[in-house]
Amino acid sequence: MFYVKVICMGNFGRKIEIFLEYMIANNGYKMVLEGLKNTAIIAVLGLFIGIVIGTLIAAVRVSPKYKFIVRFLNAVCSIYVSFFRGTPIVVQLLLFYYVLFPLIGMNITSVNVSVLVFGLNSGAYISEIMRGGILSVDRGQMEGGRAMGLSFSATMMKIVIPQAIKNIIPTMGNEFIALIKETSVVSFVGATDLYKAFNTAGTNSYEFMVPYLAMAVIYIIMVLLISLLIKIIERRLRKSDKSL
Amino acid sequence: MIRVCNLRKVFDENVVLDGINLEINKGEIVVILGPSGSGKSTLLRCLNCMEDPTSGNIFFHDVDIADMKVDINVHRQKIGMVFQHFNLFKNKTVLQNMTLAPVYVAKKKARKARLRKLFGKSYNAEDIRSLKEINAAAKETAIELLSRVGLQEKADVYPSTLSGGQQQRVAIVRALCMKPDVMLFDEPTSALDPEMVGEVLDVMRSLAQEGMTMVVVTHEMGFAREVASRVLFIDEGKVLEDGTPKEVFDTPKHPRLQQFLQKIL
Ligand SMILES: Nc1ncnc2c1ncn2[C@@H]1O[C@H](COP(=O)(O)OP(=O)(O)O)[C@@H](O)[C@H]1O
Ligand SMILES: [Mg+2]
Repeated sequence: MFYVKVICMGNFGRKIEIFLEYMIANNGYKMVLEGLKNTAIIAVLGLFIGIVIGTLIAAVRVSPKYKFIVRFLNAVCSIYVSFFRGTPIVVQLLLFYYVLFPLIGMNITSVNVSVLVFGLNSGAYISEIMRGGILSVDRGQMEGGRAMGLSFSATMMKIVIPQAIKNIIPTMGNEFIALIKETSVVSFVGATDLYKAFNTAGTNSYEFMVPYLAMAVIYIIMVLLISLLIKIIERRLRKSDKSL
Repeated sequence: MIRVCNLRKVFDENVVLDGINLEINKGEIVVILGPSGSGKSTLLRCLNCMEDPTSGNIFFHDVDIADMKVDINVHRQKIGMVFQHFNLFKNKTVLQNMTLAPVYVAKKKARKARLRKLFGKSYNAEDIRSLKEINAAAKETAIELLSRVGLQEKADVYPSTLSGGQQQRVAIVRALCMKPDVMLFDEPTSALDPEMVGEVLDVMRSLAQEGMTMVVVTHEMGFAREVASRVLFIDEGKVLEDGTPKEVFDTPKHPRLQQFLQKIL
């Protein structure tokens, strides 16, 4: 038994050697850095686009529905949200990269298409989070603004949404973490992300165990760092503004 | 200043206001009485169209603001409103609460005037002001009003750090920052601890002495008797009695009002 274990460990040591040799001597680290960069770009820009879209959708969905235009926008938003929440993100990526952009005759890189699709996708999820956040703000805040002659949208932007954002920061943190993890599918359209980089390392060195282990470790470190960041932001907000 | 014609308000099946006719003149202080649930808040909120009337007209300076085509925001800027629960902006300091709307309105006016100037149309030269001027003017007005209610040291704190009475005083001067023609009060002291009621009523009293037109829903009978120029009693969706405080309190005619006064006094 002990003997077997030692052989395995010895074997594992050899695997690490192969991995390190590939990474350093054969410049494998360059692709990993590239993958890390793309993963970060897709997640961060995706989140940013998602927040903008999600906030707009949420604002439309909580608007009073007197005017035709608002009802129309509301219908568009609900179709949008059902599509992006109702289909797998891989399907959305493939549709945009292989169907939509070729149909409109546009050339787009796989990283750009990933940023776009992850932005649109998280927009749908964030709109629901944001709507909950807006509804959690006391109705009196909107009334206070409207009674002074501020428009619905001005009151929303200056008063209600800032308070809603504070309420949903923990949930948004979770959304960002989910987003980072989901980016591991962008290689479906050929983008070089962390998965693609380590997968390539495995293929080229005929050895998958260590690369995939390293990949998992990097994902975990990223997620832990972000969790820490969110905690710091939350604490700051609580300290700087006792009102909420 | 405000004329209400045949105002009806129906929530689902519930007829809350059933043909209200009312005229409020400049300088009047009108107190509205009525049992709980009789539609006092609804009536007050119809006066600035926070609730849209089911039918009828609300004339403010002879413009029917119940008409969906008018820009209600422009009119609301001249109708101050004070709520039972203050409704101060929680994410803004006291000073920011007071300057937000005046700055917003002045910026909008300046933008419009600049555009009109650009296209060679007539414009009001006074409207074209820099952001700096706008901010400074709004701040000056706000600080002056704050010191009038004795809260100038509280300019930079958040509302949640203030007592209820202080918050309501800020809410009143916040509304005054817009230089309104009329002020609406919906039970401004009902959410306050008893020892804070006085300070808010004092502010309202001094406002009345300065000649502000006021419409006040309240259960403070002493205030009504002393300050009101007119008292309305509403119940069953109608104005059942309308007279001077003396008439309403000393010689109530409607049996409903007699009952109401007996219960309260
Ligand atoms: N937004 C609303 N939706 C449905 N019913 C309402 C609404 N606001 C008020 N009501 C109803 O209208 C009636 C009068 O309410 P209100 O004007 O608040 O009375 P008061 O201020 O005199 O106590 C009550 O029966 C209340 O339930
Ligand atoms: Mg009420």
